[in-house]
Amino acid sequence: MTQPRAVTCPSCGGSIEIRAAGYTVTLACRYCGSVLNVAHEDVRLIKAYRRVAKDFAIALGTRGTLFDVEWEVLGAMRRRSGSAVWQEFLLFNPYAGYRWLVEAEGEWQFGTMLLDRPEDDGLSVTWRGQSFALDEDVQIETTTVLGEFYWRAGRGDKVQGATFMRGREALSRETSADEVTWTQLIAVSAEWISDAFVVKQKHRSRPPRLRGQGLKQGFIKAPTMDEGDLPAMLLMALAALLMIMAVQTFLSGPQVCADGRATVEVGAPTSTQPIGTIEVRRPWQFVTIAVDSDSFHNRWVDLDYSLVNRKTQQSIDAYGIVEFYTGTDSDGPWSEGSHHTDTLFSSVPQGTYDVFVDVGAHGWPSDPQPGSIDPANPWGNTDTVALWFRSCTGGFSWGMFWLMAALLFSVPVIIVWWRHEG
Amino acid sequence: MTKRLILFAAWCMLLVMTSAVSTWFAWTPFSDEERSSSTSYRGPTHK
Repeated sequence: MTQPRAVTCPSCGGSIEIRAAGYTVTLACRYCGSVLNVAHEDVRLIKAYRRVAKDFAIALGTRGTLFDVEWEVLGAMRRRSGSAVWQEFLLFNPYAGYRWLVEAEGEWQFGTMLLDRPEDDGLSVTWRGQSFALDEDVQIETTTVLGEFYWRAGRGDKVQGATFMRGREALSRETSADEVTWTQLIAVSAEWISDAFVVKQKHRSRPPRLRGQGLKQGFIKAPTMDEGDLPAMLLMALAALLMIMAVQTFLSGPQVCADGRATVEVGAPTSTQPIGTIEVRRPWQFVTIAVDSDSFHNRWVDLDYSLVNRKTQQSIDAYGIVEFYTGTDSDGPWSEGSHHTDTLFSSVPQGTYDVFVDVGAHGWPSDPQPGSIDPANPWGNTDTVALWFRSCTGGFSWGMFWLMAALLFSVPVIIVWWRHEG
Repeated sequence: MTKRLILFAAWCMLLVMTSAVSTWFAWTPFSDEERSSSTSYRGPTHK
């Protein structure tokens, strides 16, 4: 092997060995996954990745003997085409050069780059007197890169990959913007690879499956990508959400409302005011109290509601606040808050309820003097806030609805995220 | 229909049933019966 050269990753400070010094152009840090340009003496960071690439079948630096040659695993990449994903390992021997090992679901192929280009006539190619038929022609994307490569490899690289088959032997043609490369691929047994290299348990061979011929026969679909059922899943989630909306609307009724009004002096002690009577007609119902105020500034109104059952005199309490602030700072004028708020009571038992509110209005940053005139309304008598209440049974919880929506759509969203993470 | 889709359909039905039961009992974790913990301070919070 060539004399390794040690470099320091400019992204994480990790010490990395370049095993094929003089050949390697791109090196992905084994600690942080950053892609480095090692063609220069001063190692340059090409791209930093936060996530460490993992779950490769063979660890970088592993050595093994195949075809009577000792190979060292220099680089590894995870690639995908549509729903198929697989791993490719770059092997190196200073006398034999580079080779490839390709792994998909425990099945392996050994790749040799071709120096003599096959004769290509579109649907088939001829190489060394043998004809190979086109099996597929797809776009291939690199999703993870780790280790050293003799070209500038990176995550997100895309090539057009065509596969030509002849029995168990295949020729792979990869076309990028810069070049066209040909590789001969032959199937090798998983046991042979396991004997030669230390293969992680999850990537070891499985019982053979029945499937058609083709280079990608081993590249079966990865978990979460194995079925094209994502559109059906989204439709199902949408249908379930509509069903939830219909169920909530149907089960929450009937709606009965009462209106009330209150006026409160800013800075005055809290006062209790009746704002209506409502009747809960189902065994349990939500009660919503919506309040709108007049257009005040820099005031907040504390609202302590009580639903008092006429029969039992038991009270159910809930809280709300109306607040609105304005001002000017270095960024210009600003405002915050709202003159409207909704308060939700849950699990209100059947019965007739008188609705009361303990209301107290306050100024910001401090209460005005009692009896003072509102500067915004100098013709008014005192600084007061007017409030209009509407108490209704028969509402439903929008928070619950959105929680259900999040739980429904989280599954397809996680699948899409997983796909993009490779 | 794939196995994964069947599982997802079961998940959807579970959520629909949960929603129906919670609406029947008018239960939600998002009611306003607990006073907000931020009531100790009132005023603008934008900066």
